Amino acid sequence: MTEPAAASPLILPSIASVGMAHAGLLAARQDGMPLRDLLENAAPGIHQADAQGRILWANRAELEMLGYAAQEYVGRNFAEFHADPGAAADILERLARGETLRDHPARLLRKDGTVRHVRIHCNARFEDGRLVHTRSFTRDATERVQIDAARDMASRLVETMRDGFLQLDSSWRITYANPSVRGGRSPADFEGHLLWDLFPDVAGTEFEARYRHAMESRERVTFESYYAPMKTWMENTVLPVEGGLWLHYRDVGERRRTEELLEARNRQQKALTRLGHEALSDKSVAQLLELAARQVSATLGVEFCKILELDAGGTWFDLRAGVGWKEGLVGTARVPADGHSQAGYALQAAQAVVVSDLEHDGRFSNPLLLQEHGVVSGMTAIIGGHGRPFGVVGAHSAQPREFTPDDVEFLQAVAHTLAAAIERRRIEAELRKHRDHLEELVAERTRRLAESNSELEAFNYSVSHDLRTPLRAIAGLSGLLVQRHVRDLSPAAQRLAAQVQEEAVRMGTLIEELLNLARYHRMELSREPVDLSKLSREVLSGLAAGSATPRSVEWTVQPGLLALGDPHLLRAVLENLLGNSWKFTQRKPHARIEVFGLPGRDSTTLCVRDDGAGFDMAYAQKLFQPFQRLHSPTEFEGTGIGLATVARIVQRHGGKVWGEARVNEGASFYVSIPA
Amino acid sequence: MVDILWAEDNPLDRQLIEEALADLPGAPSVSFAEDGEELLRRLRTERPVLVVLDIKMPRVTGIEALDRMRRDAKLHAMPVVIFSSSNQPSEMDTCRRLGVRDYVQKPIEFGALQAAVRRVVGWASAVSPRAGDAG
Repeated sequence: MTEPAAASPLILPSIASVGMAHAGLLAARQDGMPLRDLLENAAPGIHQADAQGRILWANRAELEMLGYAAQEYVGRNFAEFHADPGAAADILERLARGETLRDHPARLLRKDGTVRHVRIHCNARFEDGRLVHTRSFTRDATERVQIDAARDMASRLVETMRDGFLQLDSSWRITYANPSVRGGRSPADFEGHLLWDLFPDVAGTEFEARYRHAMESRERVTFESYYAPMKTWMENTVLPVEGGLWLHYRDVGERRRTEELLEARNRQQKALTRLGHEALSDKSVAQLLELAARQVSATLGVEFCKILELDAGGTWFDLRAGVGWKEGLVGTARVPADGHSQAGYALQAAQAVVVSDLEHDGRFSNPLLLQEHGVVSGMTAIIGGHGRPFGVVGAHSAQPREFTPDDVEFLQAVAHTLAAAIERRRIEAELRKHRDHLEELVAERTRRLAESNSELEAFNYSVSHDLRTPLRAIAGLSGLLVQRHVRDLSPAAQRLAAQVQEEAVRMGTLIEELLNLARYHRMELSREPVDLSKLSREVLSGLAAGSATPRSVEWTVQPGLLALGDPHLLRAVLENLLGNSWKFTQRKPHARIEVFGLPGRDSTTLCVRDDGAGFDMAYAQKLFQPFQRLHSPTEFEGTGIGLATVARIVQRHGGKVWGEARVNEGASFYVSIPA
Repeated sequence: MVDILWAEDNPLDRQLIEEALADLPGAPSVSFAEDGEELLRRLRTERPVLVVLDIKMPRVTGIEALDRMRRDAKLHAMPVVIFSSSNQPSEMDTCRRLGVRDYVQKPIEFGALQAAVRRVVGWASAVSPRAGDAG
């Protein structure tokens, strides 16, 4: 920059007052002075001010820098345009002392309120020791300042950040290494050295390849890779710059580990869901074990999975399912179940066991199965069972491997799922066995019942036919004797022959009733509405008509008594009950028989009541048993089968029968049939 | 020429039936076959007005004999009455299906037996005017 003071005599020599500044400018132009024109169009901002700092003149560059029109700017004190208080006064004071300020930094306010960083070059003109005016050349340094600030910030950032930052020249020499890279060593240990010398581990890795690629292609590269020496993942940014490369790297191991944990957990959860789903299906235990083994191996990323079942004696494990083992081992291999093996140890400790390095684990020896396959790490979880464990599930690797708590939990969950599924299948099988056994039992009983029924059938047939034939001969022959040869017989012989005939007939009746009793027990039951009132009237009419001796019996039947049942069998019930009433009232000159119903919602209850001989209630429980009689044959005829027949028929209808009576006052019999 | 060919295996029953018939004035002539086999053999040459069958008989039972008659073109329309001790509903159903004229159960008491025999032979005149004077 030239010395402006040299030009100052040329500038506005005639300006006498501030108020005339504008006129002075105009005058200068009108003068057509080439120097003034030069100043007006110069690149720096130029102004003149008086001893107090009042602006007398400013060129176009200065007006544009601060955004004012000439009339808004000229005449005002330049202190008004300084952003920092006191800055203007300081400048003025130094100028008054005759100083020349060079590249003096200042901050000026623009009309729009923004601040410009400037560098001011200025001094004052004195006449007779008196400051006449100041001249000031101002350059806008805002961008420069901003760049400097940014550079400063970037450099501080690089110096303090935990990420590594390296600057390399095009021949792979380090020109800068930030403190994070240096790790406490001095910059001199890095700068000027070859990257490959200081970081020999990088050679041959993805890092080297990517760096070289960036250097050659001049393309920015960003990547993540595992950095073995530090056992961590690094995120790298390689930025080609003028004359070399910038390398920025960041340890993202923590993030990667978190992501991997989440991903692993997600995988495990999916596997468990799938397994749980299959556990509920009708897959067999063998199929489930095989699926579980595959899931464990795939989910945990281990080469081996074994599922061992504890044998009945508890001394061996059988390899029931697995992944990774040599062919032919699954289904045949056995592992001792003592505490020396991992599986046996887990069983005895009753908890999951984790081994990172089998060789250096003092707790147990490696069973042959694991040795053969070079297994060094693994986990074993117990599959519980009914009363005692089913066995174990193990995940193994030939690599040293750390298992996370999530991994252990996963294996344990697989074991639990399998235990529940196996237990369910065991119970189902047991139920099925019971059911089959029950069905067999029922079939067997049914078969035996059918057999005994058909034997009974044959027996009945035989009784009905073979017993009756000789009986008929006895009755027929004695009958013939009485009918045809009465004259050849003494009165006593006649009486005896008649008795033989009567007894034979009585036995015939007995046989008949017994057969009926048996038949009512077996025959198919129909169910239809039966009018018991109508049936009762028919039976009573029949009894009256069939009576050998004239009887005076007054009978009443309540109309509309309906029951749901077999019409033939219900008729037999009424024949027996009303027949009894008819019989046991035969000694009464005037007898009464009533048939009526009792109210009830769920059943029809019918009562047959008479005023006949009745019976002693002490024997009531004998009433319905076959061949039990409460009267002697001389009192009342009978076989003792009638009420047993009634009871059987009513039972077959799902109903009840009971009787009430008093000796010589009559009896009431109740029959209740479900509606 | 017999009016009734009567299959009855039991000699005592045959005796009682004959005694019962003896009391019937103008009874149709009855000839006994001792079982179903004899009955079927005789039916090849004889042509009675009525066939009476006991059910339980050795070798060929009454129901078997009846069934074979119904399958035989010459005998399928022959009037048949059952006279048996059995009152098994299943047997009664079978006989009814095979088209018997009557099913009479043999009673035990002699008076009742006489009545039953009367009912059986009554069918001979009912089915044929040839035995009309039997009634």
